Amino acid sequence: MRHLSYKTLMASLLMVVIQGCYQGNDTPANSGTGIGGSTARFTIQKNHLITIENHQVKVFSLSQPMTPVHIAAFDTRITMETIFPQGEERIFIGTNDGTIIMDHSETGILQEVAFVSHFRSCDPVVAQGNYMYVTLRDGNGCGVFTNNVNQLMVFDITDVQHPELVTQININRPYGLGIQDSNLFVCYANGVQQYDISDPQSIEKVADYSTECDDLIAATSPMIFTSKEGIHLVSLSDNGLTEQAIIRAGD
Amino acid sequence: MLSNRITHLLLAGFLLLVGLLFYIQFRPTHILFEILPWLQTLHWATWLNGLPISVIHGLPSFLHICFMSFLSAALIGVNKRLATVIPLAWLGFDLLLEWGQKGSGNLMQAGVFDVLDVFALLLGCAVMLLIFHLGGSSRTVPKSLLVAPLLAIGLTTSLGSAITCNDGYECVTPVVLTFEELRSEIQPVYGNTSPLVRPGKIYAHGQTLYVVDQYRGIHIFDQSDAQNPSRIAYLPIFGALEISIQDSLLYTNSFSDLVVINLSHVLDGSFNTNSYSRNEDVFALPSTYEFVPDNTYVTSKKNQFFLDIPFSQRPEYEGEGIVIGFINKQGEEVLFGEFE
Repeated sequence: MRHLSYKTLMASLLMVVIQGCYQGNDTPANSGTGIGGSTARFTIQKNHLITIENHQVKVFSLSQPMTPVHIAAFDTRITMETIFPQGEERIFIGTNDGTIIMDHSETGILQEVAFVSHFRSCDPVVAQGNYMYVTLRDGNGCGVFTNNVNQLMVFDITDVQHPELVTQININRPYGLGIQDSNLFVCYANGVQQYDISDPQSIEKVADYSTECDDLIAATSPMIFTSKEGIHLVSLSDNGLTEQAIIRAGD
Repeated sequence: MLSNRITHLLLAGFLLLVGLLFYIQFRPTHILFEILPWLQTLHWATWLNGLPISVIHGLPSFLHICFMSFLSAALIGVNKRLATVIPLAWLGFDLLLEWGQKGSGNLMQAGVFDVLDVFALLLGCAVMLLIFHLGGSSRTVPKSLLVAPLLAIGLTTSLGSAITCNDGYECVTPVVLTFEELRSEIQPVYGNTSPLVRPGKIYAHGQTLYVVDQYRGIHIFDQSDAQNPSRIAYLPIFGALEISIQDSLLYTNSFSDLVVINLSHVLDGSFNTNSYSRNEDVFALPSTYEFVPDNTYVTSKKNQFFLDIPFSQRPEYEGEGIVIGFINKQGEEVLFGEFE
């Protein structure tokens, strides 16, 4: 009996709850926003700035754009790393324990609709249509252990509350990723891989480049890659990727 | 009667184990693990990082008072009087130790006085009083012989992360960015004079490319000619890591602050103090864990040093500014993200 009460006490002490969010009331957004890489931690959707820190999501109303108003915050017990907006109503948060999918249909109010757990790792996430693409990378600041899980995962999110794993492909330490039309680019240890995702149910690797990259913006022209070396401006044609210019670190 | 005593002993053992595991997770540089390095292999649960700060701070104190109370009860036994005396005695003992960490820490340099610890001790004491009074009594033995060893155990197990700057530990001087410097006026630098030191995140907005120089600022490039991108301006912003843009406003972080920059004023050269705003103390500061070598501690207060930065605690320096680096043995500055 005494033992039991002790366990209960310990359990309640160790329990962490995701707190609810508050309310925002803004007019629908205009979309004067740009585009960031897949490792971003700030994003703007529906005239709200959404930021992630280690364990906290914050929402700021931009109805007075020069003076953002902090309207909501909620905690998660897992470490968040990346945030990716899809359209005007969906947010993907890459954590070191899985991907959180959030609904933003009511302006300023984020609601978790699904959590796709996976091995402990770093995992940026991007999405297009009814599919989301996640990379898992082990080691170095991505969890305590090296678990040798290094993968690109494709999920069908047609039923967003129940994402289904479609494919997992082993890649040597993948990191940032981005989509241009039917091409998915994945930064990895030895460069960049290009996948044809016109049929997301069976994606195919079409090219492998030695361009070094940590993260990228694929949807723009030129595409932009980052690496320790600097910022690469890269064009995509039928012949593949061609580096147009590099802004070198130190320049 | 005997079973009561064994239960107390088992609970004490259980609490000791929980406390030990807790320390392995949160205070991996703790002196114990210097002596017993294999304990480090039990460090696994980064998910525990998500625990509220109050739990991370208070749990060791709570565990300690409960552990010592159970252990005392197991060894000495419990009667009606001891059921009150034991928890209160340990409350007094632990409060005294906590009190010793107050101020600039002359008595116990390494410790940090924490109100949460006091609450945790009071809570632990209340819980123990309740348990002992609700539970049955057990045969007691003369306690005079046991007091000294119990106090010794109590002191040893309460050491927590209390170590000082001596053999094996290098204590270094912090480099402090004062709040005044952090919040000094932002002035764009035009032309091509500021090199990109540490490429960070990128953001594309029309024909303009924004590149974060980690912890230093943001470079703005015109990329309309992809083969010859040209630098339009550089915005020095201490602590910048993130970017998002809507219309002509750029949102970034400056360590703890959220900064909004009017880009049209940057581009047309009319930038002035009204062209940006700063929301102070919005974000948590980065943890010094990320850049401090093993067995090196950066002083967070005068005469004290970081042992374990709780994960979102501000590495503040006496309320004057933020610790952004330290001066190593060679007299060189080592900074967050190596910013200059």
